[in-house]
Amino acid sequence: MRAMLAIAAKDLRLLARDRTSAFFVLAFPLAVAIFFGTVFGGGTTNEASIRLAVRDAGGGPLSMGLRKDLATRPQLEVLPVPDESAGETMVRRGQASALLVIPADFDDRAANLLQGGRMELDLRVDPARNAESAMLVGTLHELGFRAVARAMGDVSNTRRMIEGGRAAMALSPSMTVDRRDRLLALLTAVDDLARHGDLPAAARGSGDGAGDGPAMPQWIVVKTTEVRDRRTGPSNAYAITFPQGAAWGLMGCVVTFAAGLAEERRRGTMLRLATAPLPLAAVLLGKAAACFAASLGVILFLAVAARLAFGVQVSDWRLLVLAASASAFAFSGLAMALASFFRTESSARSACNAVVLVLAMVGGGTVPLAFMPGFLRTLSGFSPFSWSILAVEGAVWRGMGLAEMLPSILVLVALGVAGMVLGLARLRVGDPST
Amino acid sequence: MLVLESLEKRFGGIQAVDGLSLSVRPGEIFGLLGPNGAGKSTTIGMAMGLLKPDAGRVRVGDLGQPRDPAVRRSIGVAPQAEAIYDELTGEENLRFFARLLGVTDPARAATEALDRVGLLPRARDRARTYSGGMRRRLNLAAAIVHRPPLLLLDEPTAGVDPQSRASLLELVRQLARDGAGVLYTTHYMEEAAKLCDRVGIMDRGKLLDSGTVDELLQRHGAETMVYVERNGHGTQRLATHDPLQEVSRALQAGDVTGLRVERPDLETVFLSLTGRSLRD
Repeated sequence: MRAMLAIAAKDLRLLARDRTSAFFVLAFPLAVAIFFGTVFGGGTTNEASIRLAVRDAGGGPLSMGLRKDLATRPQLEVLPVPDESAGETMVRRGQASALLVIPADFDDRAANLLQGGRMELDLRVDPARNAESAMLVGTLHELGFRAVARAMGDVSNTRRMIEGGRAAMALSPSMTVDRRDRLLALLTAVDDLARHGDLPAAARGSGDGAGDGPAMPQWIVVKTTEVRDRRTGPSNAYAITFPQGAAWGLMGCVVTFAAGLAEERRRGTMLRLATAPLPLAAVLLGKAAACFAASLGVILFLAVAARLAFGVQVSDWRLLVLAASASAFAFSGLAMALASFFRTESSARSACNAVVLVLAMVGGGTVPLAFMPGFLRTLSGFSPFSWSILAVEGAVWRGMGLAEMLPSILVLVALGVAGMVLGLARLRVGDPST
Repeated sequence: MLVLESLEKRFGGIQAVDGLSLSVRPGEIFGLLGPNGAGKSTTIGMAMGLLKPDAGRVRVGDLGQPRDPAVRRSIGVAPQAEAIYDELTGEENLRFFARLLGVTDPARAATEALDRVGLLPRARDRARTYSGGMRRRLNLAAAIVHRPPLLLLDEPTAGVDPQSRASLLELVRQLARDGAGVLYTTHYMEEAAKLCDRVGIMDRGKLLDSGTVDELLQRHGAETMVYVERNGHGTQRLATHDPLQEVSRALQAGDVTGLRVERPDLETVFLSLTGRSLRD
């Protein structure tokens, strides 16, 4: 134990004296967080998969049609939820990008479209997923107009609209007699067409031409709100970018400490460590302890900086420490696994940079997961990057409780253990000093 | 103190050490002399427990084999490379190694070791500011910071200036006088001849012979050469086992303008044992 602590203290001292490493561990992640916070915005998408929780409160034919349309979209994975609370929880936990609530009166509102009525959709989005949210809003507008077209193409619905229109005109005090007579004639003609089944195809719900032609009335409204912890939520864009910056800081630690063993070999000091009266596991764990302490320090440093300099509110500091600890442990395991593979510092640093960059990309650190192909999204489950961001966000602004955060914590700890075991197994093969 | 019995080690198709046996007694400096690639460092590696022998065994006193962490506390290692941390001070380096080796008072042990190698005035300076000789001394200090009874020194003077070398050799002699057994590898035959109580000649993984320098010279050395210069007769070259008698005889004959006696050295021994020069 004493020897392990000595190794950890020595490694931290070396880190503090290596300006390049210190830059990548502290300054670089800060710069990343500030940069992304400044330019934070959405994007465009083509092939993607967005997990969309859907609560259909109406259950009428139009809302069912909308759900079916959503399900046919290749970029959407529709997840029906029993109530709004369940859907919001999924969004907060990062299990869905947004919750779509189809209101109970969605179908009924279709009857009032000719009187200036609107069909509303309630979209509750994850504030950390702007790009996906923008894409969802566009898709919902398109499919909403298709629902409007279906409403128009349905004979009984159209006749209900016409009847409603007639009644409204009869009650309108401001309408002139001449204008009322002409509009009633028009509605009678449309009613006649509807009764004989002669409505144009576009109006019967093929839907594709819904957005064509001159300016259409705003029959579909997609109301967008953010799902956030009611007490704090993401107080600003920095609340979202700082967890991402922290993850980049962790990767800086991985690169620095993964090269540590190769550095010891180059110096010849690995021979002293390997011949010291302590098991090899203690050498590796001592190094892991230093990596853990530095990683934890990075996250907490960024959190404090975010709080003091950028006004970011942290929802639960205790959970943040837990999330930071689990993240630091996972990244320490990754560092030790990588350290055991490379013999020279240059190869260790180059390879680690490449590996962590790939893990960051796969974990959604550079490009939203929704923009990635399916196999990469599956792989993201193995990247500590995504789990770490989710856990830290959970404590900062997602308002997660311990139970909600536990899956992320367990995955991070498991990844850390796997990395340590792999590192130890590799270190025991052959002469550890060379 | 250290017993190596019939050690064998193979790396792929290369037999690095082949049936090597030797022992180092307390207070003795045993020199392993051989060219690069002779198997000296592999032998040291097995002696320090870093490499597992394919056959044979290593014992450190009555303690057991050096792969046992407890036995390692009895061994001090000075690797060929300067195994120190450049960004730490001399004192921090030694404190760290002392902690690693389980010393109860690392600060005191570090100070004593620094004093012993003459680095106390530079204790607070970072190692990267040290000269080559000072770094070598710090490397040796790290080997003795826990006062081990057995020292394994792998070419500890490689690449240092003559003055620093003399200082390091004197330090090793002191350590042996204090009772430490020393296994010392080198490819400098003069160094082995000056420093070591016994020398083992190694080549291609085999220990060809061992003994005191005189014993080796007696067994394998050629005759001493006496060069006599006479007025008008040039230089006469005489091979003898009794150079004193030969010199006396030459002087009695008179007309001697110059005399030179060339004693065979370990180079000659190596040549005799392997058929090639140590410097090849």
